[in-house]
Amino acid sequence: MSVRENLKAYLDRELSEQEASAVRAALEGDPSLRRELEEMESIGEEVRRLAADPQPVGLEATLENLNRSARRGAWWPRWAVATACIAVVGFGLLRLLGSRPAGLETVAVASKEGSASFDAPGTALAESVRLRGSEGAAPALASSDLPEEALGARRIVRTADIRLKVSDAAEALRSADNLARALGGYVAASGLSRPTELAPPIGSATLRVPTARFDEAMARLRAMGEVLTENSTADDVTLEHADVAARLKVMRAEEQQYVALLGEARTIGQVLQVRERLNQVRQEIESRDARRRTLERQSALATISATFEQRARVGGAPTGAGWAGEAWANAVNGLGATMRWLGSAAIFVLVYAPLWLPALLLAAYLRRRLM
Amino acid sequence: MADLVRRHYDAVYRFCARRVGAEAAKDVVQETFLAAQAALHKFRGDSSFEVWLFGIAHNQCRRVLRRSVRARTCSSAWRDCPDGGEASWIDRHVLLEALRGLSSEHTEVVLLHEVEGLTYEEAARVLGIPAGTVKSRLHQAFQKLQRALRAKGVVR
Repeated sequence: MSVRENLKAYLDRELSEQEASAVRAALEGDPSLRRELEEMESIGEEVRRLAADPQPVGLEATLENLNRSARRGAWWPRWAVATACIAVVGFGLLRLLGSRPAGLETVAVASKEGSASFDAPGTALAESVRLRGSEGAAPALASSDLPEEALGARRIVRTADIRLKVSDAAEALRSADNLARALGGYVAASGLSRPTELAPPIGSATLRVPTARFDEAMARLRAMGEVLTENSTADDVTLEHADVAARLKVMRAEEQQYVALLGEARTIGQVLQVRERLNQVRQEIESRDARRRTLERQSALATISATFEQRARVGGAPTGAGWAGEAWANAVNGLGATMRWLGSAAIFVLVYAPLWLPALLLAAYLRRRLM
Repeated sequence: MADLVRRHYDAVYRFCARRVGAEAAKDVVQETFLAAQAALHKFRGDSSFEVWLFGIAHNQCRRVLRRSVRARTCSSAWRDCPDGGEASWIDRHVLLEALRGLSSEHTEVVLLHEVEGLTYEEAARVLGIPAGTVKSRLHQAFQKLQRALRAKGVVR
């Protein structure tokens, strides 16, 4: 910035010491700059004199409004909480009156609870089934304290991972697809891949089958090959689902109350405050509704991730599964792949000959001439 | 909050009245203090409380001016006609005309610095712009005023 551009800031003492001394030095040697500085100072004084000086009014009205707003701020959340409590208690009473008084079934998932592990010959096979309490549900709301109907239908989210060794991965994928359809489900994703060129293909499929037919699906999958690993989990989300549904109902009631309150708002401040709360409640409703739908979707269909690893095989290899057979097959496949790679390289060199051959000939010719 | 309002009401009122006029200022000041009350927990003390209030008031004024069909400059910033006061070698009528001819950006910084007495840094906080911009806008505004006065031959 030039000295002239810094003149106003110098006058206002807003320059750094270094910049200020530069301006001071320039002022000493330049009378026109000094005159300009004096002008600016005078203009500044006149500007302050010409500024409007409105007489403040409305202090009392503002204080009163602030007081009212503060009181309302303290009052209406209490009112909202009271409404919510009444709604919760009313809803709970209605559900209790309409349900069976006794004969409650506690949450338990058959005899598969707990965990078990055993070793299969040559491979480690571990199976674990665990039951987790639903996250987010009120801790005081133990499943045994609530009647079955209050909870609605039992909702279990079942998931499993199974890894199998099969003779043909592609065939196994087709069988898995047929299996899912036969049980009234579908294959959500499937794919066939080969980790390296030498390795046998691996198929993977994500099956969605009705939760009621989960065990049947697992049994039929196990029969498709040799099980390497298997893990399954069962999450009881009944409580969480009931909790989400109850909260949704309460929040919808609260939303209606805010809408009514919005109609009664008189000042901009009131409208803004109510609208802010209304938006918060609506966002909360949307997120809980999404959670409810997710829980329903997850509990309706079990998810099974199956991986099918194909055994290595090659024509002419010694029959009989075992490490020597697989090593032989891998070695022969490897040799074939290496030969193919060398063949490809030779073809590339040949095809690119028009580029490198003249360059080579030219280099040889020049070498002969220069030496 | 009532004490804070009493202490800063006059300054905030004048700030608003110079921008939106005395009539609209009453509502704008009220909205400013309501907004300040709701956002009091966000005040971190990076600047003085008054500067923080001016920032809120500035946004409220802008909202009102946006809605207004009148000119979007600070039309109420200056006196209607200059009073006698001390004898000055500057023709106040000419200066007043030049001040009214400034853009809203230039008027804002002139008001904040020259009239409200804020530093460049404080003015920058209120307007939400860098302090360097305040400095250059103020320089440009004064250049314009100086040029206008020179053109009329009222400055040596």
